[in-house]
Amino acid sequence: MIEQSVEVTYPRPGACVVTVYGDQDRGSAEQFERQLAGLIALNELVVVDVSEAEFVDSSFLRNMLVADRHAKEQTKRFRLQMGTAPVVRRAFEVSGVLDRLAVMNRREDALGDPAEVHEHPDSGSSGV
Amino acid sequence: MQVQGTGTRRFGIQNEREFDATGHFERDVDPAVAALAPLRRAFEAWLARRDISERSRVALVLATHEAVANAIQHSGTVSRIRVRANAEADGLTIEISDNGEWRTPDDPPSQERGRGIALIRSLVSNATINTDAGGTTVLLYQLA
Repeated sequence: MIEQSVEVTYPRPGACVVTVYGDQDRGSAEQFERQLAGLIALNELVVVDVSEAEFVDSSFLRNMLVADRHAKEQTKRFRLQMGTAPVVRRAFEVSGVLDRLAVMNRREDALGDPAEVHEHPDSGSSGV
Repeated sequence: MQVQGTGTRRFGIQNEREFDATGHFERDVDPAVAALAPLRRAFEAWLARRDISERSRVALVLATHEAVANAIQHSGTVSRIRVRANAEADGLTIEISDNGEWRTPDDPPSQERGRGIALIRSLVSNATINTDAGGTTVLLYQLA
């Protein structure tokens, strides 16, 4: 379905960026969960970029928590690159999921070394 | 004036009826995930014509989506889901009703699961869920 699409890029070996576009709801959640689990197993750092997403629901939020747990269990890193779409930001904020993830507003921060990155959901605008 | 739909299905939406002038919205939705996005678009467009803030609009679209998605996800015997909204000066009421019995989840809620209902409650002024022999009704209320 056109409204649910994902693009994976590899800015450097061991790091991948998963950019999600359009609407991310229960229609795509199961497939996305499997895709993220595979990417975490194969990479040291996985960034999910939601800056192009127009809608996310609780199934997508759940996938973010599952991916974060998988990454921690494998001593990998999982980060969220946040956007500005009001409904996406509201879903992350109201659910409390935003507070539980490493969140960056800029791609270079999301890809940065953990020693050099301030991993606190506070690097940008409007209370993130 | 009430316009009765012909029963033609368009992206999972049946019997389309809208009453813009009097502030009512009503849609019958198939219990299928493919029906979620078209419902969101239609409801958002209807909300955009009401005098409510973007913050409330965003919350109402997401809360209604979650309620319908829950009905679809747990729809044991549900054959249709009806979404009705009524805008008044002091607030907006949304009723999501189905004609079946929700299946009980196999596993207990965890921090990762069961976020849908919690999300709904965080987004609107009041949310109630009633289940009886005739089905399940989720009632959402948002103060203006």
